[in-house]
Amino acid sequence: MRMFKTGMTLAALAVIGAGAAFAQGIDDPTREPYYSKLEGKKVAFVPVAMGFDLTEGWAAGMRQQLEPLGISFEVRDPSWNTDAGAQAITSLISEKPDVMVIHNPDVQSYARLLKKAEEAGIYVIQVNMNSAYSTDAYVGTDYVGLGEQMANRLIEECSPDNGGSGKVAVVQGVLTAAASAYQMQGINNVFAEHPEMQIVSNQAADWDGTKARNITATVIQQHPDLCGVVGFWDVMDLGTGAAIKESGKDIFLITSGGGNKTACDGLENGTYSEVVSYDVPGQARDIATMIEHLLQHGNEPGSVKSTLFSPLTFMTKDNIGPGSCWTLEGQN
Amino acid sequence: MIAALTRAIDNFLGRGEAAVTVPPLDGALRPNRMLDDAKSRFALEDVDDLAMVGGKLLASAGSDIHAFDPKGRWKLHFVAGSPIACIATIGNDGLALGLASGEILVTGGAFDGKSFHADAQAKCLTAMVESAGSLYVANGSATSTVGDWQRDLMEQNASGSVWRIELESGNSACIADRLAWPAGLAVSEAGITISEAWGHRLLRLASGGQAEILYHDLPGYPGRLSPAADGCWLSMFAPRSQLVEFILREPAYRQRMLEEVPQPFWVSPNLKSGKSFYEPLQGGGVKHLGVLKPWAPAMSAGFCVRLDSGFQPVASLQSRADGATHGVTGVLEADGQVYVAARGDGVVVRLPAQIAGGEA
Amino acid sequence: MNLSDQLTYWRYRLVPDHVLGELLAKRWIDNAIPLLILIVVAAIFGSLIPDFFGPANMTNLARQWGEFGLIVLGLMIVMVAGGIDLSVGSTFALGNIVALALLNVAGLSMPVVVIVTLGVGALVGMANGVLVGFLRLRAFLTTLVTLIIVRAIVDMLLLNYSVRIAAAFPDSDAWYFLGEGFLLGVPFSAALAGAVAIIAHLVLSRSRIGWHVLAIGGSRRSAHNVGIPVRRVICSTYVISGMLAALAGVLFASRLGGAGADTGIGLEIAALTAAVLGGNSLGGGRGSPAKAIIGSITVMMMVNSLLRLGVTSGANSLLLGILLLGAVAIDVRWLKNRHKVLSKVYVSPAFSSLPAAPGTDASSKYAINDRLGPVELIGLGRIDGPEDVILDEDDNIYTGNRTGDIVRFFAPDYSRQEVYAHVGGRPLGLAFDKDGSLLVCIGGMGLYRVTTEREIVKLTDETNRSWLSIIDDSRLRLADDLDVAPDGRIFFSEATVRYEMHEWPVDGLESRGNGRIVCYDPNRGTTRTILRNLKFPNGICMTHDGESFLFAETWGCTISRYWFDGPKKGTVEKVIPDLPGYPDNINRASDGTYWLALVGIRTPSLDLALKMPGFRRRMARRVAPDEWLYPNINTGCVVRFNEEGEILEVLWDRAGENHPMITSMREHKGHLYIGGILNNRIGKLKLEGADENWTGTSSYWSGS
Repeated sequence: MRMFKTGMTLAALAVIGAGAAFAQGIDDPTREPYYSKLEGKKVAFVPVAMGFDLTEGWAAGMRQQLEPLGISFEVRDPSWNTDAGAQAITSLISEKPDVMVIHNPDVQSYARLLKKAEEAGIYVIQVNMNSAYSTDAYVGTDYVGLGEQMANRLIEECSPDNGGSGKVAVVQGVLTAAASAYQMQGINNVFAEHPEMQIVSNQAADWDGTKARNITATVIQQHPDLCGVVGFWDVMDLGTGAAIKESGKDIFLITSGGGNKTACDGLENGTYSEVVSYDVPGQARDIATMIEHLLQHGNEPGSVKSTLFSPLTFMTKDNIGPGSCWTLEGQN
Repeated sequence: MIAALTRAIDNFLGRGEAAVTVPPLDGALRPNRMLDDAKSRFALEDVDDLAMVGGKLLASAGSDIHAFDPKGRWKLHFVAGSPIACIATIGNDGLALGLASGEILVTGGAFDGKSFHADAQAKCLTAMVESAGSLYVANGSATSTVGDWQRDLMEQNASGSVWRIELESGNSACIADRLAWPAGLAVSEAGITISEAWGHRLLRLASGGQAEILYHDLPGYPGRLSPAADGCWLSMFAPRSQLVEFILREPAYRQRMLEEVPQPFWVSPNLKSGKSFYEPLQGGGVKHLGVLKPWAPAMSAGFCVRLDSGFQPVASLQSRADGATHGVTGVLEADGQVYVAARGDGVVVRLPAQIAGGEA
Repeated sequence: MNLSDQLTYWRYRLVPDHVLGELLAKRWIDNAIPLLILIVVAAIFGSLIPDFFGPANMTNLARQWGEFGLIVLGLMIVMVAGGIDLSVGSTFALGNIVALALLNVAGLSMPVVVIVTLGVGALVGMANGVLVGFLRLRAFLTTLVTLIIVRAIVDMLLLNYSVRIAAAFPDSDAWYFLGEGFLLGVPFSAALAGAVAIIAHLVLSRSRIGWHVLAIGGSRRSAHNVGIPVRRVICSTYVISGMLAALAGVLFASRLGGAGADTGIGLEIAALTAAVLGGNSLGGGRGSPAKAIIGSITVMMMVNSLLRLGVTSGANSLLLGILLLGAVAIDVRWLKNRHKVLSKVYVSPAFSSLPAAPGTDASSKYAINDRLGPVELIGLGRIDGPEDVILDEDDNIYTGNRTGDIVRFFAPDYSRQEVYAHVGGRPLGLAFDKDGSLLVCIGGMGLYRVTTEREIVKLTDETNRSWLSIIDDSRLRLADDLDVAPDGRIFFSEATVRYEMHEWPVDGLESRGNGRIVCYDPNRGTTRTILRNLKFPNGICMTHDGESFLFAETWGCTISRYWFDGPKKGTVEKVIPDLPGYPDNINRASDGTYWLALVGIRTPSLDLALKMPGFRRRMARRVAPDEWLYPNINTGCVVRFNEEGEILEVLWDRAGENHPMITSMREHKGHLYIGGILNNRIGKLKLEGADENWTGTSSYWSGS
């Protein structure tokens, strides 16, 4: 790490030196402050876990963008353990990185810690799953909006008015996760105005594909006329889709995710009917940009709060092409 | 290298060769007090070896030969003039006396008055037996004398030898050497059986010359062998004990003991222990309520074993730690009676052969 | 001494071999390995992680440890009673969700939330306790099932309440104090866990119920047989475990406030690892809060630090698993082998070179005779082991026996006897106090007084503990003989502090100065050790000057004199440096000299062995005790000597017929009364020319 840092410093110096060498040109006044302010900063990332498309994608994206600037980037992996995550954040607060990027497992657990982190002078960016406490920045999906749009898609596909049974099932993630809570809120917002739509099952699969598959299989047995399923995450909904495939029924499955290649594959092979992508590489860039921004403007952490909602892309089998989805390094 | 290492580890942990074990008294060797219970006891100070010559029971004690009369008294029969180490019957009416000087004298019988030497160096005669004109002689050690057997044990010598003397010609030949104190001999058609005291075993030398172990790991130090009705009697002059086995594995202590402690008070097997309070005492030997327990570990005991024709024990006569028939050096079976010479206590006891297990 | 003896002397003088055995004999040595692991873990991570020992990190660790520690303490209590509680993780999660629901949804106040949550935890524990304790189901399976059931309940609660919990932000400082507050600078949770640990320690080590728990863990059947309410106690351990897990859940809820589905998953493995790693035995009966604390800190530190080091997912669980496996293996091996190792290393003989023994031949002052031959026998076969004998003014004989009685033989013919007092233990030395009460040293108990009304009063059973002694030498193990100074102070010998009464031969084998002389002052009620490191101090007898006493060191084969008052106060002088045997009791003779019992005679072979400690150590390990070389106590004698150390008279029992070993003798009205600790008779010998009116009591008390 140190070698790398030194290397980066040398590179940066070289860049600056090169700039100085060509004295006859005009110096860009933004360059020097940009590099010097970012040089040597520390960023720590606490996901819910590593090892799946979203977090790996973000981490890769951030690393790619930040490290060349001389910013050190570190991941603390609590591996689906909230307490471990809390421990990681608590230790980070005492270690004082410049920016913490937090991926909340639920809206509550880290909220107070994040507040403390800001009080301790650390910028906090929350990624994709927000907590109940809003920090310097939130980069991620507008889950309420996502939920509303997905609900509308369900109505289009399944409303009795459109020839469906009106029966839909919801497969949530962890109930208290922002992605679940807000998305559910969005769905409820829409369905409140559509009494013809009936949610026959609303269960939590805790982001676990096997659980999702079991839940869906049971729901399909109980409600043979089920028309649509809304899943909250494509990776988990591989299980949902598998259950639907096994049942042999034509059930509309809409889910959302980071737009990884697996989503496109799933659409291709009919696992999903529709996937809403919030484009992880885009988010990664947003986070990195936000980090650069925070480090440069130098405001007191917690003083200015901003939100960057990710643009959503609705992907179906028909509208995807070879470039619609992204791949991780080493993924095929 | 590895063997040395293993030995060092064994030594440190007290395992393997360094383990201090003595075979338990079990089976035919189960403890009994038959020697002490024997009614007929005939005291003879320092009695050592027994022989039957011309129908007369003779016993060696010190420098003399005593004859047993039917009334139960010992009568001086012969004065050798120097200490007698062992005796043997020659033919029917001759008696060979092995003297401490190494000389073998014969009185009576066909070779009366003749004198033999197994070898100029063989001065530790422990046992003799005559068979078909040959006298077999066991020489316990090349360095010690008969009376110094404890030192020989403590020095862990194995310098004993067995000799055959042609009585007609007086020629002698060594038939076995490097034995750890050969102390008893028996001749049979299969060969000559030797009791190797410090090896706790019975060996048979076949006529071809190869040795065969007939019995090993005896719980005592085997001494003289004498024929019985169908087999053999083995006298064991002292018991083995865990403490002695331990001391035999402690060269430093042993050496200092030999140098600094007077011989009667050594930690060593004995013909009769407990004569002096300067002798070592072992934990189990502490008197409780005025009584010495029979099971107490002791440096001496009375012990003789009846062996069958295959030299396997079938019965034993014993005197335990609290007994008074210790240090059995000679056994003789004749006319349905078994005579046991207990040198430690200076007594010869007589038991009917039936009771003694002779019929077994 | 020759060179090799010199070397051996210094080798055994400089290396305290006995310390290892004494350390291993300590109960707390069980904690040594876990503590070592803890120190190693702390050292490793402390060096890997910057600021690891900084206040911020320590505070974080302490706070998280508080929660985890409570769970491990609960589990420890169950384990000590021989059970196991796998449901702690689920109960923890249940505590978390219940507390949050009560607070955020039901809006209850903090104290109520805590109490109700604890109640819920207790209920879970009760379910376990009833199933395991009363219905005698297997603890492992039962709590495994409870784990699943409680987890299901948590999931159901989550489904119903989690969103509502997440939506609310309670505003209660009291509530947040639980998870974030400090108590005297220590995070609240850590302080609470510490307090619980202290209480648990006190209960387990000092209370009846705690002993019951330990007893049940040690052997359930035996505990039942002695009347311990096994089922109830087992049940209550689960209740406590449940409550502590729920309490940890409350603290967690306050700290994070998150009703996540992953709360407490896998916690039971971490807790179990911590408990076993700390040295709490899976088999029960062995465990302590200290062990739980050590184990939990180790596990906590490891898990947390690996996370900080950014070790990838799964590595943590893998490590925990390996750790648990290792801990269990160590637990089993340690339990199995500790006593073996201890028995091998505890006995550690020392170098002891006795001066050359005077002979006993006709020319010697100790020349053998048969003067004990004409002894009259008292109580033959009716007394078991009269160590010391003493006579009152009415000529009655008092003596202790093996079964803990003080027996009185009635004058004049001593054919009648009675149990004067049953004191228990092993009554040894006897003396009459000024008021006629009988003072007695009781092996295994201490110093006691039997009043003329036969009331038994404990005078002392402990003395001041030596600062540098590893074994606890404050208790009296083997009070041996005593005498009373004119001012009423009682000086008594304690033969050894390393062994119990029946192990005296082992002390002889060691021949280290393991004994001491202790003074009990009835005027001040104090007990103080006045002389240490004596080789089996035995007989004690006041001299006639009133300011010193003579004492015998059995394995040292010496008689010495100690001044407790006067100008020579505090000094020790050898009176007889080279006895031919092992001295026991000393008592006054009628002519102002002293009687000494020699319990046995030195043998050359043992004298040599005493100079070879390694030989004796190997003998102790490899040879059965019944086969050991012993001091020859099958022959003893009585010696009369004066204060100058001159031998005046020797009485032998040449045949050892009646008195093979002599531990005491008492002159009384022209007769000598002789006792022996392994004998079954008391001898009475007419002393020619002795004062027919002299008695010990008058010698001591009539002058003043």
